[in-house]
Amino acid sequence: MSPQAGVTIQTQFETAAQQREADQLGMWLFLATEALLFGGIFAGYLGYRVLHPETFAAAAAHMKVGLGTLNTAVLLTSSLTVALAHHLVQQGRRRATLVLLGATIALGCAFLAIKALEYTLEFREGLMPLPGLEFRYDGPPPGQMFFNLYYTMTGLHALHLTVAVVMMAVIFVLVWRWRTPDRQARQVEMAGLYWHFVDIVWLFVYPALYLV
Amino acid sequence: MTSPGTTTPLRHDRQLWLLSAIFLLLQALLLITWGAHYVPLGAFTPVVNFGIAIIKTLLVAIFFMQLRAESGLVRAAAGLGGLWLLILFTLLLADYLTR
Repeated sequence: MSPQAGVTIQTQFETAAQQREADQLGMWLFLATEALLFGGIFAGYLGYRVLHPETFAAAAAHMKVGLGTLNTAVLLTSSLTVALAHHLVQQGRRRATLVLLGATIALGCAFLAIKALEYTLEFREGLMPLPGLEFRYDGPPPGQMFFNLYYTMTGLHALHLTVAVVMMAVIFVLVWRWRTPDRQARQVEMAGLYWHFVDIVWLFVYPALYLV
Repeated sequence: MTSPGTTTPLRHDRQLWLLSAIFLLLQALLLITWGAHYVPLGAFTPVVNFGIAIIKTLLVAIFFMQLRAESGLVRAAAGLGGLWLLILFTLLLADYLTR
């Protein structure tokens, strides 16, 4: 590593700009593959919904729209705190960055808690189509497929958010230590891109499942 | 990128105000989507819902993910994800909607 204008540059790069573009390009390509992972499930959803619009609407009526909307607001707020953290860490404002990263982690946990509450309510209503559990939904079969898609989409999303929360916790510790501030700025930026992506996935899960 | 250590008074920080304004816009769009759920729009419901979702995505990508400040190469990489999805959904709907 060699210093250049106060920025730590890894040996394979010549300039800070080149290093930054490689960071960005790598992260965005990874996010494109993630988009396609979710895209496959959304494609399945789309096919079923186009073929059975009424049954999907009837099954979606069991969703807790208020909790889903609240969760969307929570995630959008967490995206703001991440964006602000990225902006302030670049200015070397360590304390403000820590507060914002802490808020982000708290909001991520709040989302997961609300999601867990929803799952609990659905479990009590007998709306979980799992082996060994009584499935008490009385509509036609595509309605059951709606619930399969609901748990796959929200479950995969919650898994991604859990990873994002753990990643933010690691970044929080790195910013806390503050050993190489310019690297910490890039770390907040990269983790932030992943966080925003998980938020964007939810922006589509929400209308797809709650607002049918 | 501002070099670490440079500080502007926060109330004069234009980027801070911009990000906050985008956030308010996103929450307003969420309220519109939520409200639209209780209005009988018929076949337009998915158009309105996913139209707003796409607008929200663009706001997050351009302002929060800073795509507006990135190079053409990075923007192209970001756009490619959307392009592949567009191909996937177009071909799928071309089948299902014409049966």
